[in-house]
Amino acid sequence: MMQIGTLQLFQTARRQMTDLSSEAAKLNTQIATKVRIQAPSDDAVAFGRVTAVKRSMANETQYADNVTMAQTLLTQSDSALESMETQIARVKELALRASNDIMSVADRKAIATELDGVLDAMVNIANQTDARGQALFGGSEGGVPFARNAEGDIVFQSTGDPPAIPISDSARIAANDSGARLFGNVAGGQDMFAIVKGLGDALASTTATTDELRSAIDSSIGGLDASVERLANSRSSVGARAARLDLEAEQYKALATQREDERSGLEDTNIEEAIVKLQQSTLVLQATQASFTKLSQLSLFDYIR
Amino acid sequence: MSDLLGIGASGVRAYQTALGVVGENIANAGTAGYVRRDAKLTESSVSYATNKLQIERRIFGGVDIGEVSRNWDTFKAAELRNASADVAQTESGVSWLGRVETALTAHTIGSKLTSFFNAARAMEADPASVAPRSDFLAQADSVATAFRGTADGLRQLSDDIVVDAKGSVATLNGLATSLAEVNKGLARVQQGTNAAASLRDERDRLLDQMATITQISVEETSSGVVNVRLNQTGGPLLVSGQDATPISVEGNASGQLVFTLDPYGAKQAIAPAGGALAGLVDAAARIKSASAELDQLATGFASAVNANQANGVDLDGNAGQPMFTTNYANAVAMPGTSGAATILVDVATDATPDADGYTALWSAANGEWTLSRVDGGASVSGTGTLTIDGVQVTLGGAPRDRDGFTITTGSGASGIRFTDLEPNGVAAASRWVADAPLANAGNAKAVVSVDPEAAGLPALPSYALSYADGNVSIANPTTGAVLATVPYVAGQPIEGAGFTITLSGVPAEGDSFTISATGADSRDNGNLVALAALRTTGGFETRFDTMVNSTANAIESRKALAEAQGAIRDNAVSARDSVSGVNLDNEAVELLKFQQAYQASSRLIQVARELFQTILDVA
Repeated sequence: MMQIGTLQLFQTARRQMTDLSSEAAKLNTQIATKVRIQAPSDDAVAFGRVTAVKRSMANETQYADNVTMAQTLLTQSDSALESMETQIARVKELALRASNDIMSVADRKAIATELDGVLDAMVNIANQTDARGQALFGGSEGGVPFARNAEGDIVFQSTGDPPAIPISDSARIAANDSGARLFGNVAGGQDMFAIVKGLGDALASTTATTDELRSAIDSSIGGLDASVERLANSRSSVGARAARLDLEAEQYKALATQREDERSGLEDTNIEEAIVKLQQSTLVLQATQASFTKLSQLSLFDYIR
Repeated sequence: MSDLLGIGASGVRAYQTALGVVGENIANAGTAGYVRRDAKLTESSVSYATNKLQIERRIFGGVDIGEVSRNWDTFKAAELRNASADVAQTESGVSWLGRVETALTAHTIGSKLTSFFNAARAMEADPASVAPRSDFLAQADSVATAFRGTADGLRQLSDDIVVDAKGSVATLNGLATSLAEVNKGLARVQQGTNAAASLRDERDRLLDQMATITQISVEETSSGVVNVRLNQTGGPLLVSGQDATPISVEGNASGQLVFTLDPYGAKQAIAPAGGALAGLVDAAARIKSASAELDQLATGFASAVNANQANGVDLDGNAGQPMFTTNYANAVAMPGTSGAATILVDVATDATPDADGYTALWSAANGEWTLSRVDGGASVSGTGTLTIDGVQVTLGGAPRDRDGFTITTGSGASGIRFTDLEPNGVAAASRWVADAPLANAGNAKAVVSVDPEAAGLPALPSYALSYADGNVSIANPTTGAVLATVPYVAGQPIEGAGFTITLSGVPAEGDSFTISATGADSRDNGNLVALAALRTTGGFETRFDTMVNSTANAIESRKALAEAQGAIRDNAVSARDSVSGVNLDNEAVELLKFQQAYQASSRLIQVARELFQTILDVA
């Protein structure tokens, strides 16, 4: 039979109780901080996964922000294009009124003046700034996209397309379009501004014959119809992109919840489980203390009288 | 009759001693390292009369107290020492690796890199505004700070571990010296006495302590004198009889711990194979490899981001400037240096200045400056510009004798610094932008990429490309002069001046393209797209994660090992103490036993006296 040294008995008991109370202290920290993994080495595998999940969360939060930004730009584009449609409709109305043969030169001139105002309104719409303080319909260059040149023509001053916005690791979306693409090359190489200005110039002319006038009005009506069609197409393209972004936004929202669950499952303390464990280890500690006290009281010396 | 008296007297003497030994055992029941002692009782030698004139008869000699023996098992003790060395090695490794883990994770490099790249994606959505650019640069600065902080933490650890090792070695040397003293005592003391047992206890205590510092093997002679060898049998002698040989430890330039036996005599390189010292060696190696990996990661990251910057155009229309420097050297005048001496320090971008730094000293006698490494590894002398390790120092002014400067340096992760770029300085835009008019009837697209090697066309701010008869002609849009005409091959790059143009798809007759250099205030984000790609190809975040994870894994496995070794050690303790430990209940029994024997022996003396009295009374 193995003999237990008295000192060894005390040392063993001390070590066991130290282990038990440090276990209890660790559980207590996990409960108090609600975090199970205090250092990577507490659970290297789970820590690695938590790191990856947190990184995905950070990335997805950024992409969700970018989606929101793109949604804002598309909403603004849509309302700008709608205003443009209103203006074009007004121009067409004026063109139809001007096509009436009984109009006097002065009447036509009045219409031309009004058209000039509409043109300004159109340029204003095309030059509006977006949520970022940038030209909504600019190209890849900064600055005001459309300006009147010396001849009074409206020219696009930028080049290229505005930058696409990243909405995932692999996908980028064009949230706004270049004015040249939206309003340019509508009919016969002319842009919408040139069509309106052409009509205004023709109506303002005092020398034009009735036939010349009629053909100018007819061609501008053709151009205006093409403009209406172009704007409708552009709006449906904007709408399609917005619909896709709505889906993406929903997806990111759902993903955020899912990731949070995943992170919590890996990293957070399971409070119920931890409390049960804590109770268990404190119970064992108390029992050990009690039994040690009993055991250490046992001494033959007590019986030698 | 005298027999009986003698026997009684011997019993009283013997049991007094035996009771003394039991008392000693009881008194030392709580003394660590005390080995239970036994008084060996032997029957006193029986003598025979040798004188022929005397009647042959037996003489009873009573009891003799033999030697005071220790309940000791040499093999169990050696087993415990080996187990202790194993536990100490693993535990010192765990504690230092824990500090490495803390140093690596304290500055959260991984999540800062993530924030950096995500800030770039935010800027991609709004490339021309100041706010996202400022945020991006703030992230760049915090990445650099995190790298430096982590590198400094690791360097601190590699300094601390040397201090720890020196402390342990000093303790070991002290123990060895004490053991040599004990050996001296053991050689002189009379064997089998209480004093001899005490000395042996002390000897074994010292050996146990030595074993936790380094693995040792012990050879014992019959007198109890021990020789101690490092590591296994046949290892170098640390204690040979009454001589102890000291060892020393130094951290070398590459962060390793170097141990030398007898550093002031016949130097001998040694390597502790177990114990706390071996744990320190492991940890030092890991600190070193973590530092090296971190340096690599930091310089890789910095140079990749700088290269990306250089490929793009900033908001002012200029080529991007570096965002990080990866080394630095700063000069500070030494105390007492006159203001008339001047210094300018410059470090080559690819240089690795020595981490200990440099000094520059003026000698009036020689009329020259001496620029030297603080570690004494190298120096150069002269006037004007001096260069050492890629650090260019230009000295001038009117120095006085012994005037000088201290130059502090950093490279790798500890040298990475944000260059204080202005928000406009972020090169978000590609250097070249390709555009195709809406009027193009075909579906061909033009893509331009930066290629410093390409030199096919004269350098112009823009180029006009047009397609006709299966050929692409490239013209200067201002003058209309045709620069080149090449057959159209989809996907084949056309070399420009520092760029290549790639046309793909099917162009229609008369389709045209323009290629223009990006100017100021561009909203292009092409270079940020390249930065996002760099995040994937560079894998900086995952590389850092791997570093943390491998350290965490090492700690986890060592903790498990420590637990197993701890159990083995505990068993070894139990095994040894079941032989050597004092059990008070046993001692109580012994106490009773010897007390009764003592009383009985006293009674013997009384009986002898009474018997003698009887005879006297007869007379």
